Formats: sequence, structure tokens, C-alpha cells
Amino acid sequence: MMLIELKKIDKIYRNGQQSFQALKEVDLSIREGEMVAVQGKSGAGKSTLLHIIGCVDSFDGGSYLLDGTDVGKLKDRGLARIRNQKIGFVMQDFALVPKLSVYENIAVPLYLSKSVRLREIRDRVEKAAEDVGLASQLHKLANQLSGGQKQRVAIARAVVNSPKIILADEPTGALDAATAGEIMALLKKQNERGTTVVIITHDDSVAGSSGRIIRMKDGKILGSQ
Amino acid sequence: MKKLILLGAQFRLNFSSNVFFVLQCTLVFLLANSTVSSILYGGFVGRYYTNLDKDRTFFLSSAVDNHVAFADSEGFYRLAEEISAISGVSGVGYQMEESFLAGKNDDTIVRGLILSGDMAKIQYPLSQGRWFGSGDDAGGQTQVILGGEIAGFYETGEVATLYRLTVTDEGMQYVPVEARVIGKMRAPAFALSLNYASTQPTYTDMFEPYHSLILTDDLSLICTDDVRFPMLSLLVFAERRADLQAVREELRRYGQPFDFNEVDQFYDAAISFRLANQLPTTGVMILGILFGVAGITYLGVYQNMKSIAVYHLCGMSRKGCAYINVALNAAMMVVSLLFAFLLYCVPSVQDYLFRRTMFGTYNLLFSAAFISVVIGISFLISYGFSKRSPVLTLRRFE
Ligand SMILES: Nc1ncnc2c1ncn2[C@@H]1O[C@H](COP(=O)(O)OP(=O)(O)OP(=O)(O)O)[C@@H](O)[C@H]1O
Ligand SMILES: [Mg+2]
Repeated sequence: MMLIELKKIDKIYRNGQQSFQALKEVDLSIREGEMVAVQGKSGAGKSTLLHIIGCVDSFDGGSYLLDGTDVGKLKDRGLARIRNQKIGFVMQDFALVPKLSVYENIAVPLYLSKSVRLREIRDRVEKAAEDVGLASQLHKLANQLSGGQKQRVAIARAVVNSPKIILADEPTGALDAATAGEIMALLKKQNERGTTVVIITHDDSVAGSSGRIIRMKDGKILGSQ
Repeated sequence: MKKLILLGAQFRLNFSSNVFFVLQCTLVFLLANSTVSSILYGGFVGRYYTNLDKDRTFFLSSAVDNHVAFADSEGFYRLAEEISAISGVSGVGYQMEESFLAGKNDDTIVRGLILSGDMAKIQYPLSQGRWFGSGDDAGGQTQVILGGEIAGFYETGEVATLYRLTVTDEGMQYVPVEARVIGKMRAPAFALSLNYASTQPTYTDMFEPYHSLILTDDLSLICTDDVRFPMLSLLVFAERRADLQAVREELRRYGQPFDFNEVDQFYDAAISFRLANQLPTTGVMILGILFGVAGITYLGVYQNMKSIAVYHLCGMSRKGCAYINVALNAAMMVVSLLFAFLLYCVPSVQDYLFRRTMFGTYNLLFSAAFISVVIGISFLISYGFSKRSPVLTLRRFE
């Protein structure tokens, strides 16, 4: 069974009178445990696609099945629950809350989860931090960290609630080559544990190390190899 | 609990501006409540007397002016007795205002109300002790009930030596008076003033010996700023079964009778007038404050957009994103209200802001209304934000 199944997905951005179709009848299926790279020129619609897969943005046509759930039928709360339980995000700009500590940043998905009990939180955060090599930095504020460390925090936060999918939007875009390599290694490690990883990247070497590459152009998927 | 932790985190994110917000709201609560309650405090006065039957208690104005000659204290007594004798009248009350020296070193000038026996029928609320005539009489010893700060210098049950200002041939003199402290008034104390002063010849030495004395340095005790009661009146108490119409007719032969309800009506009219005068400025002030609050809320929401977009990614619903601001604002308002209340309990704040006010139902209603409006504002602003997708926020920060 497919974990992610997009069929004829359209996405139209509307700003007053103007509208722009960012995705045109996109079909995409991803199996559980896959590692998929998405490539394409700037403006091709990669982030848009990722946001739709991640249930943060709506779509205007087509259907989307995620782990058997018809996402198009879900409302605000249902979407929120899916983001919380099944998806972890890693963004190019890290998307951390700068004035909160590393610990608190990692704990956010657990605070928002209905099924996690308060006293489980510390253990799970510490374990996730250890996984990314940040066990000793938990008390620091997020804005006191280097870029590489920030991205590690983001990865720890993405995996702390044991999601099925990690969605990464140019996770190495703001990092130097060596640090980028470390971050990629962490994502790969998660993938080896069975987590499905979708990663947008401009970096061919990053793309090369993933199982499948999807190329996008003008809101369409050109093909995958 | 987990939600509370997030709320706490959210508070820390804009720590300084949130602290300023709380401080501002605290002051607003104090200020606005002080204004509102000082506008409305008259409303409390009418409800202040216990044991008062408003239909059966009359002010009889101008009777003394019309029937008592200058410097004729005997004539005053005779008039009071004559009116007491009217069928249906159970008593006539009057009181004298005098200056006393009291306090630790006998150096505080306080006002005294010397009550006639019937006057003591009107009871004011006490915080301690008992009212006149409700315990043993201690053989005609002067009994005193204290109000204001000087109440702190004496114990209930103690015999205090007070000094009463008298005019003698040699000029002004303070004569010692021994009095047993039988109770203390609850603050802020209001007592009605009839404006009889013993410095006026007609009323000198009207009370010998003194029996029931109220002594206070609490300014609100005798509400002279608002001339609430017909001055130089006698108070006439009607019997329970009296034909009030007939009593009124009889009283008209001496002067002009008003029952307590009528006086309250005059007073309410005066308050409405004052309201009409003060409401616009107060309204503008409150409106200004609300705009300020709206601005701060907007800023807060805007500053929080990034962190809220992050929470959204991690599984907060859009509604939740909108509510977290509302919840934060509501929590801060409640804390401000608490601070305001604590400040209200500080004596010097009481003195300067609430001397002529009471913290009562009106203030609570006002505070509740104010909080609701602020929460409403922050709801509208946050809701407007939640309609925009947090994705846009994410993109903006990308
Ligand atoms: N809110 C919006 N309103 C209008 N147009 C938008 C909006 N968001 C994105 N677009 C447009 O949609 C198209 C796809 O954007 P998207 O961000 O998905 O591209 P991308 O492939 O991620 O590009 P990049 O590699 O630069 O991140 C772009 O042309 C962009 O201008
Ligand atoms: Mg993009």
C-alpha cells in the first residue's frame, strides 16, 4: 500500500484578482520507507507540493490519500492531528522558536499531542536530542546555536513524536558542505529506521544519495527515476 | 497542563512587552475603576445604613429655622419634644458636629458627631464592637464609636480621654471628656451630616452629658462634598403602624418633610447629572485605552506569528493558533486584575485613588466588561490572522 498517494492535485494561489496555478494535475505515489528527493528550478512548485503533502496547505483539485486517510475531507483539527502524529518538518530556515530553549523547541510536538503524557516528555526529548548529538545543549536558547546545530534541533523536533514521514525543504540550503553532509547523514539514519523521507534539494549529491529523484517544472512532475 | 506550558512559553517570547502590557492593564484597572466608582459611589451611600426604614424616616427641613430663635437652645429642645408628641411619630433625631483632639499624643484633630438618643437609631456598619444602646449602658458613661485612622489608636472597650473644643469667655479651650470605645466603623464610613455645629449659639451645650459619640478622621464619613441631606433638618421617625400621610401633614406645619426615598431620588438625579458630565471624558479615556490595548494586541499577534507558524507545523490547529493569543491576553488581563486588586489593598493607594470610592459591584461589572471587550478585540485580531494561512507566514520568513 502507498503511504502517500496524490492524484491530479491542482493548487491555485489567489491574491485578489490575480491567480496563479502552482501545481497542475500532479500525480505522485510514495511507498512507506522510501527516501525521495524533489528537484526543480526555483518556482517550479516544490515547496507548494511539500506543504500539501504535509497538510499545512490546501489544494484545489484532485485527491490525496495519506496512510489511508482522505486528506481532502479533513478539517482544521484533523489536519492538525496528522501534522502532529505523522509528519515531521525540517525547513531551510530551521523554523525554530528562537527565544525558547533547545529542549522546549524539541518538545513542541509533544506538548501539542493528545496522546503523550506530561511525564513522558523529558525522556523522549532527551532521546531525540541524543540521536542528533545535542544531548549537552538542551538548556541553550535556540538562537545561541550555529546553523548546523539549529538544523539538528529541527530534526530532533521532527522525529520526537515518531512520525511516519519527514518532509525536508532544502534542509542543507543554509549550511556549508561538511555540515550539510552531517545533516544528510542524520536524515538517512532516520530513513534506515523506516521513516519515509521527502527532501527538496538543489544539491545533486544529496539527490543522488536518495532512492528516487522527482523532477518538477512549472507545477508539473516531469518524471521520476 | 501542556497547554499552560505553551502559554508560559508564549508569554516569555515577548517578555518585556508582555510585562508592560500587564503593568498597563493593572494601572488601567485601577484608574478606570477609581473613576467609575467615584462617579457611582453615591449609589452606595443610600444603601449604607442598616436598620433604616426609608419610608418611615423623614428629614424635616426648615423647622428649626422657622421655630427656634437665635441662641435659644431651650427652644430647640421644646421643638423636638413637640414634634415627638405628634401622633404616629416615634422619635426625633438630631446631632451636633464638634472638633476633638484625640490620638496617640492627643494631637489629631478629628470630627465628632454627638447623637441624640433617637439619632442613634440609624446604624452604620461596624467592623468591631457594637452599636449604641445594644449593650449595657455603663451608667450613663459617654460611649464612642471610632472611624478612620484614629480607630487604630484605641482598643474596643478602652476608656479614652478626648479633648473637646469649647468656646469660653477666655476664648477657645479643650475640655477633657472620658469616653468608652464601644465599636469601630467599617471603612469607608459614611454618616449623614445635618450641619449643626456647636459653635453656633443656638446649639451650644445642647448635649450635656454627652452620651453617644462618633469620632472619626475619615474624610468620607461626613459627606460634605455632596450635599446629600437637607441641612439643618431634624430626623423624624414614624411608628410602624403610623398613617404616613397624616404624619406628613402634621410635619408640614413645622417645615418641609422628605422621606429617605425622596432624598435618594434627588441624589440619584444629581448623580445622573454628574454622570452626564463625566461620562464623555471617561468614555474617551477608556476608548483611548482600548485602542492602546488593540494596538498592543496587534503587535503581540504580529510578533507571535513566526512562533505560531512553527506551532502550526508541529500540529496546532488554525483555531488553536488563533486562540493562543486570545488565551494569552485573557491570562494577562486576569493577572492584571489580580495585581490591581492587590494594589487596591495598599493603604496609600486607597488614600489617593479610592478615598471617595467603594470597590463594589459596579467595579466588578466594569472590570468584567473591560476584560470582555479586550478579549473580544484580541479575538477579532487573532481570528483575522487565523484566516490567513500560517503557510504564508512561513513563506514570509523563509
Ligand atoms: N502565496 C502565493 N501567492 C501567489 N503565488 C505564490 C504564492 N506562493 C507561491 N507562489 C508561486 O507559486 C510558484 C511555486 O512556488 P514554490 O514556493 O512552490 O516554488 P519552489 O519550487 O519551492 O521554489 P524555490 O526553489 O525557490 O523554493 C511560484 O511561482 C510562486 O511565485
Ligand atoms: Mg521552495
